[in-house]
Amino acid sequence: MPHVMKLPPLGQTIEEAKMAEWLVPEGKPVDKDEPLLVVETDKGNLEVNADAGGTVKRHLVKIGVMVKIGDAVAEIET
Amino acid sequence: MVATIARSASPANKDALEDRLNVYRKLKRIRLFEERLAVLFQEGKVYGTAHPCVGQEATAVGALIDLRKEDYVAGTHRSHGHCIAKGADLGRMMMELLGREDGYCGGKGGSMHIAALDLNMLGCNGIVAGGIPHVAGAAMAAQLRGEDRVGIGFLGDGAANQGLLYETLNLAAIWKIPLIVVCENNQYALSARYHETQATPDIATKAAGFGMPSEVVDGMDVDAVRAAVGKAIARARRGDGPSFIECKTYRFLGHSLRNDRPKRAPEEIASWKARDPVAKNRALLADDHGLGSAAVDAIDAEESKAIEVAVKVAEAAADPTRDKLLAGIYCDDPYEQTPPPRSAADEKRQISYAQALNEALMAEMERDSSIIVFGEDVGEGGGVFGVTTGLQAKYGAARCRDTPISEQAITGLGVGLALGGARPVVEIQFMDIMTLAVDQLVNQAAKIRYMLGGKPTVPMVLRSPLGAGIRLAAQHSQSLEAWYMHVPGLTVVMPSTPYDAKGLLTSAIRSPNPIIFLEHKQLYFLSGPVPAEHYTLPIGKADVKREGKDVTVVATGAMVRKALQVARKLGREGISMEVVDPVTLSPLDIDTIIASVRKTGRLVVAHEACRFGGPGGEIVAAVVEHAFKDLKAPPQRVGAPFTPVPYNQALELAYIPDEEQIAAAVQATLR
Ligand SMILES: Cc1ncc(C[n+]2csc(CCOP(=O)(O)OP(=O)(O)O)c2C)c(N)n1
Ligand SMILES: [Mg+2]
Repeated sequence: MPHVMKLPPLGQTIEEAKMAEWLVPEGKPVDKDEPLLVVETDKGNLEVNADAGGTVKRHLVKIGVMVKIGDAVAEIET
Repeated sequence: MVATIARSASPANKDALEDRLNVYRKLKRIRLFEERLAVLFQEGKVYGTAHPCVGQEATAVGALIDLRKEDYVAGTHRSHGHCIAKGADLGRMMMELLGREDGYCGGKGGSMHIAALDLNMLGCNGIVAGGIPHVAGAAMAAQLRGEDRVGIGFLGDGAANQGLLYETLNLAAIWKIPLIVVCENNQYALSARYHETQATPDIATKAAGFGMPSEVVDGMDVDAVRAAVGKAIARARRGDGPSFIECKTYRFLGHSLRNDRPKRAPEEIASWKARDPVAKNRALLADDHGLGSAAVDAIDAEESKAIEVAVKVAEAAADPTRDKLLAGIYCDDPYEQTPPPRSAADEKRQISYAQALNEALMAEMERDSSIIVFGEDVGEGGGVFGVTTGLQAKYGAARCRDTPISEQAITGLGVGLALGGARPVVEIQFMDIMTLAVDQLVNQAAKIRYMLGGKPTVPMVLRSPLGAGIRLAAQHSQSLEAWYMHVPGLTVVMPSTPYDAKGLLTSAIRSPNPIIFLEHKQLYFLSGPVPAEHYTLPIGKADVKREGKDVTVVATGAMVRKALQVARKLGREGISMEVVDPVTLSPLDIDTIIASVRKTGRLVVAHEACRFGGPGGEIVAAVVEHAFKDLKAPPQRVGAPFTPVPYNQALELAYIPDEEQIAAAVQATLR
């Protein structure tokens, strides 16, 4: 079962963010705490780190889509 | 004899006589002290230099005689008189002048730094005008606590050409700081004549331009000085703000005990000596009050004796022992530690670096009402990078203030607020602009504790963004941390993760020491795990960000993330990299770095500052000194080339050290 990474809480005032960029492509290895994706918020662009290490199996959101805190964003094969 | 005469007078006359006696004693005490000092200097017992105030006694006495003990005073390089007028102990002053351990500053300060902190005399200052923002800040700290203390800052006519004075007057006027600046215009600034250095006949006209009462008084007339300063004190105590008083006066002796320039016309000297405040007040006592000349002689003898006692005590006193050399630079008093609830690895919540700093400020301001945050655009605007967002809305405009664009004065005011018991957190908009505040950081904040004998603390945090990468070009992109690493007394903290940023800013605010807190611009909007709870992290302790066994990479600031990326990449190729973040650059936790190099045998240092003269040189040198035999390859340094930061994107990217350079340096140690 791959690990499903959810968009973590990004501070008190941020409820959702726009998916801006994948830093690790599907099929590539990622470490826990390695920057995985970038989201756009009203506070500027934020890099978000992977919450588990392994291989990025699937990107679950497309660039430009709004993502809520807690939504699944990626599958990581641990 | 004095008492007999006083008893026979009417009550009003008696009060007037006692008052005059008090004035005269102080004038005479200062005069005798300075004359005795000149002898000690000639005898080679007082070294370096000393600036006597003979002739100027009336400004010190007139300005300070009605001050309360709790009121603050900041002096100049010519301040023995100010200390004595504030009530300083002659023995401890003499001991300081002779460099003795029990002198006011433990023999560390000497003539130009005598301070009597127990009397709220914050110190003389060797940098002309340097003490003005300190006394303003201390008085402001008291004002913020609801007390009615005032601050009197002295300076000379030469010092009145320093921009710092005018920046501080402006700040004091807009914030209604209970400050009185007493300018002792003694007609000369070392060898420069007044009219050669200023085009206006009076300095006071300039101060008036800042929107405060400003007047010229006869500085040879102690009563005139006293009346003018009294009015200003009353105004300041009422909360109506600052005043400026220019006292026209004259130094009878040379600029210093070793320098009697320029040549002055004998008639000029004689015309001022004819208005000698000591002689004038002696005559008032002896003749107008009918005390008679013999009675005044008796007073003179008493004062003379007191000074001889002080000299004897000082001559017999011990010098500081050599082990005192390194004492009193930093304050080691413990402060409240709040251990983090979880490690970064165990934390789920991710927030940006800027928000992490904001959380630290929010929570600390809640915890400690003496914290005051100020800087350009930090209030409603929340700062250029949003770090102070919401502080003003939550804690009010008194505790989160926008300032005028006056880096020297706001930094100096921070020093003064800290001396006065507040906890200032100053933001300087860009690290490049800290250059304008270097005197206040390097000569004042860093050294006050040491040169005043290891007693005062300066719990100030100065935050500033540094670094390139957002195309702000040469004057908004530098990494100048090595400059401040070179200054004993300063602590330089440079966190690389949101987790560290929050914990370290909390510690920095609680620490009793002046701290330069550097935030890389490229990090502000990167996120990382940060507990929502409040916590501290240790200052002066390096953090091993990733363990490895083949190569140690010591990376600072924005280079830490890059080093970690390289470590991941090379890790997949079988190279095991250890990444150490010093976190605090001074004092540097070299032990953790050395332990890592002992394990790996290889060292790379990566920072964004220019390689030449950068922090890497110090780190490599220390490792070579302590762990030479453990090194399997020459250490490598990654840093920016020796050039100003360019604007063009390709050039800027070429300037900033990147992952490839770090990887190449790692590979070079493995060859
Ligand atoms: C900022 C600064 N520049 C230069 C000096 C060297 N210096 C010491 S005293 C002095 C003259 C100061 O003149 P003024 O302020 O009129 O004071 P006075 O000596 O007349 O009491 C100078 C140039 C200094 N101490 N600080
Ligand atoms: Mg002068």
